[in-house]
Amino acid sequence: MVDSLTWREVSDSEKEKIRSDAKKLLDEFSKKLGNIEIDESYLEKGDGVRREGVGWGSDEEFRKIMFSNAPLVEEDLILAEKGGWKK
Amino acid sequence: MSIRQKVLDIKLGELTATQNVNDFLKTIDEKNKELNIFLHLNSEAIKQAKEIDLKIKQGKETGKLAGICVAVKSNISVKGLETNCASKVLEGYISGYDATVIKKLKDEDAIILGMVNMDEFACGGTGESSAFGPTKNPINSELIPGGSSSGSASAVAAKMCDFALGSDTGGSIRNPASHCGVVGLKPTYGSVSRYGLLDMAMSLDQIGPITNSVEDSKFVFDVIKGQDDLDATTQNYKEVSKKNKYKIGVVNIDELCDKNIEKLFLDRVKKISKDYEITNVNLPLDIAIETYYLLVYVEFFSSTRKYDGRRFGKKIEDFAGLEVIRRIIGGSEITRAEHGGRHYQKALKARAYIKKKFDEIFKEVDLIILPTVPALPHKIGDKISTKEMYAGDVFTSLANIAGLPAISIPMGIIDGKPTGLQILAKHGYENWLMDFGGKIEE
Repeated sequence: MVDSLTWREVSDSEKEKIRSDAKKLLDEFSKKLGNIEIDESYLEKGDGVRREGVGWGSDEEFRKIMFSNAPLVEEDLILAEKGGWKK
Repeated sequence: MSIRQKVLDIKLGELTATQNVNDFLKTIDEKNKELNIFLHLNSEAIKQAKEIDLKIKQGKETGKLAGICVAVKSNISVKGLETNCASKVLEGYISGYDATVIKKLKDEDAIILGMVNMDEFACGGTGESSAFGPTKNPINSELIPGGSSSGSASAVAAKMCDFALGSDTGGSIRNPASHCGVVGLKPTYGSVSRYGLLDMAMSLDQIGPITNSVEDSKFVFDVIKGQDDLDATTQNYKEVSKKNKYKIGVVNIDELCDKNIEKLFLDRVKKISKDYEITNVNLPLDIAIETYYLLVYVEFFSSTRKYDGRRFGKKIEDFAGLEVIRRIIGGSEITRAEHGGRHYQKALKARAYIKKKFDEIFKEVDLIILPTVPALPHKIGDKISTKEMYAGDVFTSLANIAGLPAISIPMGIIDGKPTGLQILAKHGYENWLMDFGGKIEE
């Protein structure tokens, strides 16, 4: 897909085109990686040191701000119901 | 003036924190309308500066960054400020807490000037895909500034702050630093806390500074690094001693970049070879993009499941732009196909292979150098293909895949467009990176 990279809304029909293009691209990418023979691994952390601490706690201000961010609030609860964002 | 010198001047009363803030606010007022860098300003900045000035006047102790002004990428949480990832999805979302890096800066008396523009949800390498309009390059406002930390690099280049924070998943700090002619550091994965970063791909993301010099980069990095109880991937790395001479691995970039960038790079290598031992090395650049995007699509899809429109913000699939949608759809396709190990498992194997290659190379050399970007910045609005856009990450994404530290420093200017030189080191060897970078910085 050749396009300008500036922001614009995406229509539903365009999403289907994106899906089929994405599938092709991913197949192409995976094919290129197909011949690598090595066991899966994880990132080594070198010589560093980590000692666990006490974790975290929230405060009243955090609670107040997050409640004001929520689309639907009822008394002491954030209503996370399906379709709530449309209201 | 370096950050170190400015802090000294503020503490000695030769400059006040208030004056520093006012100077930057004046520049922002003059230039922001054209460049579209700041999305939100901190209305408390002057008040906070006055408090620092008062502390100094009263002879009280102040922090290492007293009165220094910071621009923050709009995906790093700053309590009380809108952190919207340059997306309509999170428009109006006020952060309820400070990211650990922000807390560390505030503890040292830095002043957050405001939140800056970026590619939407950090999905992009040009700075054009913000839902609030593209960021413009201060060197030439017709050009892209690079991305995704477009506002962070532009704010530093436009002299709107002392330094900025960005995030780097596949080059998002180094790429705009290169395009804007400033210094961008992607620290070792796990050396700087990501707590409070609205993640793009959690195994690749890293927060880092964008500064005017390597010296400033080290100064800020020393403040923000270190283990955080709130990010289990972080740890303290031992500070390694500097060396008198480094053995430098020069990456073979034949056919992979703009001819002018290649020429500039080879000229710089020639200069460096007068003082340092040089060896040619081959990185697995041919599989960088493929590995990186398979990992990113999956992790981004996973990270965006929280934007369901129920708890905060709007539903991402309904309100995001093209590149964000592409990555979400791609990620969902990988997840569907993955039971056969079609995509993600291959990318994990490739990641292990890339890491092994770096281990082998770092047995032979201390540092690796290559250009930061394969192409010069294009004009805002130019049409390019998806693959062309992704190819922009070819030199930067390997450091993220392997979790290595990397820095971009200005290499030169081609037709009025800046471009950067990139240096890579082993995990936790930022000290070498910045020692060498400082010596060859021009």
